[in-house]
Amino acid sequence: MKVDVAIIGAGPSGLTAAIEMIENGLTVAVIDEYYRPGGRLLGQHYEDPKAAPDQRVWNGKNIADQLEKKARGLGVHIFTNVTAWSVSEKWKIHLSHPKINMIVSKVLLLATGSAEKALPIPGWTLPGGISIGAAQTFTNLHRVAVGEKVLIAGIDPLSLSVMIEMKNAGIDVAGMVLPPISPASGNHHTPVQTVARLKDVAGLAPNSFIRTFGKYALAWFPRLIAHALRFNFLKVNGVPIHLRKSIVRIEGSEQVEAVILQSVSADGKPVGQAERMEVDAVCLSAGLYPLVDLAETTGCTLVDIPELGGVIPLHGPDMTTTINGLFVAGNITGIEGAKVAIAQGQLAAVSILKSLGKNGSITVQEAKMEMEKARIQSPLRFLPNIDEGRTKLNKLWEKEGVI
Amino acid sequence: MNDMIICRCEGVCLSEVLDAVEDGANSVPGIKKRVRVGMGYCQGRVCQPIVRDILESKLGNGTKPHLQRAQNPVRPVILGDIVR
Ligand SMILES: Cc1cc2nc3c(=O)[nH]c(=O)nc-3n(C[C@H](O)[C@H](O)[C@H](O)COP(=O)(O)OP(=O)(O)OC[C@H]3O[C@@H](n4cnc5c(N)ncnc54)[C@H](O)[C@@H]3O)c2cc1C
Ligand code: FES
Repeated sequence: MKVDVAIIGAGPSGLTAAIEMIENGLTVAVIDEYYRPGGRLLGQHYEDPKAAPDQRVWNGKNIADQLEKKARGLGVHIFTNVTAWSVSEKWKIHLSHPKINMIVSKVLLLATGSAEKALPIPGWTLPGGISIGAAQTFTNLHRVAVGEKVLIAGIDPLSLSVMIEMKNAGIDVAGMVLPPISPASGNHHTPVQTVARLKDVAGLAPNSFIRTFGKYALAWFPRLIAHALRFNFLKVNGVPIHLRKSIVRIEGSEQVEAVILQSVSADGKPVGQAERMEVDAVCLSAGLYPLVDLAETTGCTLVDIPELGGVIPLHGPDMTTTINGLFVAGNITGIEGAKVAIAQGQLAAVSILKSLGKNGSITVQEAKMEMEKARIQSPLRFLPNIDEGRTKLNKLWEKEGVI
Repeated sequence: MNDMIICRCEGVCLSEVLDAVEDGANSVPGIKKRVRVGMGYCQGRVCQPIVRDILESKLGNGTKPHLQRAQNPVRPVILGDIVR
């Protein structure tokens, strides 16, 4: 099959880009290895206090369905259950598809999103131990309870948000605790470090999880570190958030039966006796990282920017990379929320249109401003220093990127 | 604690990874070549970030070790798809 633009990833950024490009005269194919389009949108379901009153509920599945319907209606070729396992230059995309084994395109847009970091603790591979993202998908998309009594290890914006989603679905969440302090989990999960990260993320964007801290209003956050560390836990939606307890191991013979928890000092040293809590599921949250495997095989320059979540393709403010005809959008460029991914899809699309001598529905400059707006309006912020990361990236791009 | 699994696909434990570092491995590929972490079905999507964290804390020079290079094919494929 031959198209003007091939897009890998049918998440919010890929689908948005596809719609903008086909509406302005390009032929487009989108490839996704999941069984249905939508990417990470599919699992998202929460209140967005920053939205207009009639748009307060962010229902990712509905948004994904709308994007898919619109794209298909306009004639975008969407392939699901199909993996792009290799790309070679200018551009041949190799597919695991029974009939169509290759797509040839002028331009390639990588919108492969992000992946979850694993959180290894003894017993984490027992059935009943699952990642927080899987718990989100089970809860909101498949409507399956991950357990009768669930513990969450890892206290961050995503796990707090999924906890609220599970509670809303009627699942018994027994509590949230810190990961162990160990080289295998990155050595940065002391109570002080965790609360500092929460404070940064919360302080920058008064978002849904701040509200759920309820009586702990925004003004309270600067003092949260001191307070939270003095009290042993806060309650959010009736769930104890143990900022001074970490998980030691998961026990069970055939599946998860219990967890061993240990109280720790503010800097993460064990204090007092360990305790046992019976649960049948443990959700593990250690953060997200951009999925760059395909990007790497194209030979484009990659850079490591921790503020953006790790290794990403070096790219310019208009989503071009160091390889002509290769563009990026969405979480592959840094870990941010779905609204930013949508705006980045739009931006990449108008840049591509421009590079092929066509006009988009808005200019590149306007699309950049839309993206800034989306960043400010995001209800969920994953990383505290995104702006710093973007500045770093732009400097690198000016130095090394421009071809 | 040292017998905790790090690489699920290849069944590699923490103790083996630490032994590899002891043995002189100072990069992700160095550990991979000694104990097969990252060589399984998921091609390191699960274990590589962990191995990177372990290395960083063991080497302790403040720099993040490089990732292994992704290789084609980036996902497991059936031979038929390649030779077609
Ligand atoms: C576990 C998890 C939970 C999240 N929860 C939230 C949340 O609650 N709120 C929020 O705003 N954001 C959340 N995010 C961030 C999320 O990434 C963005 O909201 C948004 O979905 C990013 O869009 P995207 O288009 O970049 O990629 P994604 O939505 O991640 O879509 C990428 C798509 O690419 C496909 N793909 C990747 N590689 C290949 C390949 N080689 N071949 C074929 N297909 C491929 C994947 O199957 C996937 O469908 C979450 C992310 C993760 C990982
Ligand atoms: S977990 Fe190591 S290769 Fe999959």
